Amino acid sequence: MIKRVVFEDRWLPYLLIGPQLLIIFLFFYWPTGQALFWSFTLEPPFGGDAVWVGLRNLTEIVTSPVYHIAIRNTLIMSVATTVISLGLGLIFAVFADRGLRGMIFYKTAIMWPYAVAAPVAAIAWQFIFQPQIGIFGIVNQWYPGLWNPALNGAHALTMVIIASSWTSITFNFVFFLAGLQAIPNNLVEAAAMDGAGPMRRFFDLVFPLISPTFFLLLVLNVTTSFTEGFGIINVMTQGGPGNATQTMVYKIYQDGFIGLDLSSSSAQSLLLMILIIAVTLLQFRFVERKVHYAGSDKGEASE
Amino acid sequence: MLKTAFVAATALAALAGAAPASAKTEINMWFGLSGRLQNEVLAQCDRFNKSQDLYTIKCTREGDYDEIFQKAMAAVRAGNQPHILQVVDRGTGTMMLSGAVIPAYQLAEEQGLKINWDDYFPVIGNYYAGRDGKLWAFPFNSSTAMVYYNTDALKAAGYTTFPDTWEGFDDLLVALRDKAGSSCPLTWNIDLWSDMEQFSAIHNVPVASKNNGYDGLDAQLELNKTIFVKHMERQKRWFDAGLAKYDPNFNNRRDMFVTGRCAIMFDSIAGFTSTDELATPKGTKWTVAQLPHNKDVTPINSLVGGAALWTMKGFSKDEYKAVGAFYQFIAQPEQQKLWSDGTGYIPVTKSAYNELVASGYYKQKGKINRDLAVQSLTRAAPTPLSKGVRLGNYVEIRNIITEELQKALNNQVTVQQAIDTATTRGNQLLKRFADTYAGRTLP
Amino acid sequence: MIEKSPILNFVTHAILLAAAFAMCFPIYVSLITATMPFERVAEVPKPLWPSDQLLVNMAAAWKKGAFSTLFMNSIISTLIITVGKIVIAMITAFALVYFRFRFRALAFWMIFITLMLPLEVRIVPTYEIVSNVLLPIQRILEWTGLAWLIQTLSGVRVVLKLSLINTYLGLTLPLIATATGTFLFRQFFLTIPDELAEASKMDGSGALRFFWDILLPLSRTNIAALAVIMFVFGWNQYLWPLLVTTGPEYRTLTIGLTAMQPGSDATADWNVILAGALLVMMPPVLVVVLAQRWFVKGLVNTDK
Repeated sequence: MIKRVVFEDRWLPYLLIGPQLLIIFLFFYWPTGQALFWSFTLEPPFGGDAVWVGLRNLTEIVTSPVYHIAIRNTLIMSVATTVISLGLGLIFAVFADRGLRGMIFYKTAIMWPYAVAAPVAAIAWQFIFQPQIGIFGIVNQWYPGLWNPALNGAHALTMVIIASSWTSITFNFVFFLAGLQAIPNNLVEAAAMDGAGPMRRFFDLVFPLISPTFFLLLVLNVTTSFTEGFGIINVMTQGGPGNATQTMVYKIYQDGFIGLDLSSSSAQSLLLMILIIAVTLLQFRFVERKVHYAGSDKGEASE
Repeated sequence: MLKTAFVAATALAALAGAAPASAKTEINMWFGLSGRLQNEVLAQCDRFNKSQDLYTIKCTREGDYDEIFQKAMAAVRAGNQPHILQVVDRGTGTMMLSGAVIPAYQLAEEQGLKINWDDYFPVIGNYYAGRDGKLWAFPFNSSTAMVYYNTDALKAAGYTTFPDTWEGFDDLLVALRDKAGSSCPLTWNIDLWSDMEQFSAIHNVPVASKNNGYDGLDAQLELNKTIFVKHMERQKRWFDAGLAKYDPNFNNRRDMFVTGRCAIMFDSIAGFTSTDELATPKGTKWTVAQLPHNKDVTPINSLVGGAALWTMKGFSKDEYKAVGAFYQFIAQPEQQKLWSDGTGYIPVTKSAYNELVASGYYKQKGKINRDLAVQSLTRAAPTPLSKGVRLGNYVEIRNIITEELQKALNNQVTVQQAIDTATTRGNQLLKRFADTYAGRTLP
Repeated sequence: MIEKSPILNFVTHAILLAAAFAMCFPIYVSLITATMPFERVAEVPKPLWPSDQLLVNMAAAWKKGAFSTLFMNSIISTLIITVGKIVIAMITAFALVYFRFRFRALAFWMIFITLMLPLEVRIVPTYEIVSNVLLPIQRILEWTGLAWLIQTLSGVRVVLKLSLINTYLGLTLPLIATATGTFLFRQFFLTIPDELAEASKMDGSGALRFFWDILLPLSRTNIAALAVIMFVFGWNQYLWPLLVTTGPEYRTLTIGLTAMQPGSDATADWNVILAGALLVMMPPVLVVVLAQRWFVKGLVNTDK
């Protein structure tokens, strides 16, 4: 994707992207390359002679039933958290953009929980979901056993999905709001004068205009739903009960960071990266085509 | 060959590396304890620094047990390791095979340290020793598993003493429900440290072949063939009957106990002081007992848990002298007493323990029954099966067993099936570990 | 705002109130403990009304956590990260959108892929490179045999070492690359009408002038949004600062806060810890509140 109007300069673009490329080469590609090399060896935790084992790590992991559960859970969590946090983030932002009295209060109230460090948020969710002493304990007093995330896998997965959606709503809210506020008022006013109601205006005019933001957030949410969230799982369920909340990235973390199996963890990282790259490519291929980038053509159309 | 080196360094890097000039030898220790325990470690380091003027030790908390291990791995690879590293019990095998440490006995020989090895409780020493009984690390914070119970609830259930056997424990849970009217006789979790390791040691049954892995990296799990299966089936019966309330979160379990809502919980002896601090304002009366054992069995020692201090390679002779002086300092009975009193861990040497007993320490208010932990650890001379468990990928193996047992609690599989699956999966991990260290043997 | 419909206004308030409640309630119930005296910490069920010990607990946390130095370190490193990320993201996106050059698509994907593997899973090799950022050059010299050549010719062994351990650079530089920010500005720049660049070109002013005079002011809301997100990101970093600093000099607040939390063997004085958490949260909350000023409609089009 590039502008139709571009600047001509031989060296400037390289100077502009140079710093970022240098940083990612040093701090991402070099170490990641090393980690991926471990995928094909058995790497001792403290270094030393690694044994070359070819595809053993990869075959062991893809034939493991637990890994299949982890893939399934990852897909469920990814779809669910993306839909929930993207949907609610958009709804909140659309209403907050209406500019009524008291918006500062609402915007602050929705945004500031993002400032809460993950450990605190995790404590919060424990207080709420704990079946005996938490808020949800009330539910269990009415119907004993109705809510039991400690042993019921479906409950546990629901709990983790809610908690991780919650943590990413603000992220989406902030960027949707920024996108919405960049829409010129006169466009919307013109549409209103033509007699378009709020719903029509949203779907015919506003949504296409923020579709670049929507695409941005879709891709980011899908990606982060694959790669993050192990902090929440680590505090809330540790992948349990009985693997019900085991995800691909949590397993990488658990095997590598806690279990010290650097090689298996690297092999799983390799698989995860391949999967995310595939999913991202699909999104760029099929979703970005529908995105409306306002260039000169938009200007013509709206006049 | 000329060994000159070009060293490029920015001012920043140089600043960071520059230490203030001082005649004292300075050494570093990384530890993983937090909260109040962190202050106790710092106080101990401070006492060492004030006790002499040749050496300075800088003790810093570098994360929890897992983080500190990860950091040490990275640091060793980059040559930034500390002199002394606190490593949690389960990391012992990996540390021995790391090639990055100086064994404790070797350091003591080289530095001519005056350490009375026999003064360490055998079960504590053995946990960190090679097959020849020589210590590789200095025992630091040590504990063992206990039962915590509400004395008022037991009285209401018609008990004056805590049952010695698991059969008696069964009856107690029922009495707590029926006679004392407790809605939560036991707040409970699958905790393999006490359910598997402590239980197997006390009953002298193996967790794995080759003497729980001490005698070779080719050990295999054997827990699906021992009375451990029966023990987990027993716990499932408590759970199914509603006698045990399952809660994997430790803080919640302790809250339920200290507020008197649940009558019994399992915890390490190191939680004694904390439980006291929390329960006292709420008027909950409680104490501890040793873990029960099956009837018709003579129980032997329980297992130690905690962490030890490891000496890292790569430093000068002077620095190791300082390291040795520090170890010698903290092994003194006086220091052990202060440490045990402040932290709630047990003293690791017999002489310190005996002095505490003689001074009437365990008769003081708030300390009564804390010595039961030492009695549990020293109930018999450790056998090859009650010295400890030394398995590779052990953290993952424990996770696997817990995972599978959770499926059994959920009635997806039977307890036997769960432990069979866990054994198969665990053995694959043991093989991976052995292959990682192909051709190497445990000391 | 376009129309004044009381029903729509009511719905708006209702939804936003519900949103505010859903977002704030979990934090509220966890932080309520920060107002309790220690005796009430383990209370079951959890209290829902505050007590009066908040300031006492905060003072205790400040002292216990030795927050003074930690605060400075957190502020310095977070500001470097936030400003660094915004600058890097903007100039990269500017190059990607407004220039045609070789490897443009490749560069975008190279940056984008960095989102796909979190730091936690490559922490050991990342530490290694930070403890010697010249390692790649050293390796290249060794692989190509240049190191050997230099040694044979001059007798000098080449050892390149530049460690960023225990420096602000080490704390921040590895976190400054930002696929999120680059992607954000790419998307935003793509929505900016081409006429603006055209006009700029016709005026004969260069690319940088266009960037400075046109793009930067237009991007204010997006910069504010990114600043909020990245400030919080930088502020809440835990694992990386823990790894790359040793000892107290360069430690950040989140590490101090976690060090106060008990492991499995100690009492949780959660009232003090959560009061500490409140203190730790204040700067990012302040940033959120201040950034509100920039989240105002009408910055983009001055013609309203």
